[in-house]
Amino acid sequence: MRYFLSVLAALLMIFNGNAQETITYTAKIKGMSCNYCTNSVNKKFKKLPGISQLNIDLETGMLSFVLPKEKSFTIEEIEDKIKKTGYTPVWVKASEAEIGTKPVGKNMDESNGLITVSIFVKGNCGMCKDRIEEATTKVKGVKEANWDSETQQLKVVFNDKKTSLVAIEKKIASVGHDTEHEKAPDSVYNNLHGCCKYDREASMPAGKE
Amino acid sequence: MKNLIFILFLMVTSGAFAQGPPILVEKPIMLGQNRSELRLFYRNETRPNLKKYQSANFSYDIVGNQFWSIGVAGSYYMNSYINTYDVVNDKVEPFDGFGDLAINLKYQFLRKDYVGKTYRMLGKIKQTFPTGEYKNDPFIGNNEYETAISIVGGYESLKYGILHELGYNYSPTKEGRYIKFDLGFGLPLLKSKVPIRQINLYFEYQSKYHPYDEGPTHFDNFEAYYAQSIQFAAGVFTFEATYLWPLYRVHDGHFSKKEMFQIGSRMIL
Repeated sequence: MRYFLSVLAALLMIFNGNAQETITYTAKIKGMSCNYCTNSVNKKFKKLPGISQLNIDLETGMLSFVLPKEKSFTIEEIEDKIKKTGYTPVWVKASEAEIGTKPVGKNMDESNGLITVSIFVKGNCGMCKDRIEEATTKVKGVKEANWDSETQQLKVVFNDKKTSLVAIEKKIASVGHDTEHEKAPDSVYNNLHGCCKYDREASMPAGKE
Repeated sequence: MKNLIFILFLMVTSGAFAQGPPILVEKPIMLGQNRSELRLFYRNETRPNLKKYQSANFSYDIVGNQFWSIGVAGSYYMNSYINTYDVVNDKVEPFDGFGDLAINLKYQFLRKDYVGKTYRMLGKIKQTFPTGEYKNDPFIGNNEYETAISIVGGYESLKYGILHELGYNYSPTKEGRYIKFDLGFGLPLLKSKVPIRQINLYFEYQSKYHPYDEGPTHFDNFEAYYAQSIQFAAGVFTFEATYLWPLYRVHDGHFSKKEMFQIGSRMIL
């Protein structure tokens, strides 16, 4: 038994040693209006060493790709690369998710196209939390949603082939909560419960639109 | 007719399609850093007095980034009938030769980007060099150093694109000076997808006003054309065909057109 366990431990060590840590980048780009535009961005990014899962959605302006951790770039460097293609980055996010070769549990799902992104959503209380998370999980393709009332950050895990951050933010705004890029309709905001009426004039975090 | 209007309405109001670069009107979107475009096309042009010009043309962006670019354009005329009928020899002599060479400098000074749409404006200077074969009458080249300045603008969205160019061409000879205005409307027919497979229609208008030309009225110095184009875009390539005809052409200058057919392709490098 001991022998078997030590062999298993050795195999796991070897396996973990081979597992490649990766970083998933997502970005929203303004100004792409034609296939030539996506081609420009695609051509720029596909040159990055080790890049995989490069995906550009012209309709939503969403760019996503995965890089090995040792060949990763800073957010500013990615923004600069987008600017050099002639388009405007709205935001760039990097989420460290080990989506390499680990064959267990959640990581398998992540290697199947799930990405984790944190976005700023305005709200106040527990009722807001329920409302935001319920609206988010109703979007097809969203696996998990967790909103923190203190930081006002919503951590959302979704399949970027089934939905987009734009669709998620629109859904959240439709139930009365302003997000980084979507403003809730006044009529919906006005109908929120008194304790849920957050400060609409409060500024978004630095660096956000 | 109602069906045609309905189909056009559906195309304009339906989902995200996205068009490619315009055919005759200048494009306002720069290609970005370390990218260039090579364009090759054949043009068959009929001009007044039985002149027929056939040319192989190229344009190439030598260097540029997201704000500016420098490009070169030239042409080679082949088997062109530019001389009037030779009565003595009972034939029309075809003519081959290089046309004028031009260098373009473009600088984008306005960019308003939104998700899925953009409005951009750029300034353009085109310097033409008299490298073309020149005969007294008629001729291929202008035999003059000409400078054209223009403002190019365009709104492009996933559903359609509207492009315009307003400029002035200066020539040492008064007859070569004119104001130009071009307008283009692009309409994609297929839904946008990757890899790129798109068919675009272009509806383009070109006009020139020659303030110094001789004519009984100013309208005699005005010429306007309409061009209908179709473009197929696949990956980094586009293939396009255009037919142009005059809407208004009293002016019978050397470069006014009776009709024009153009076919070609371009590649993003």
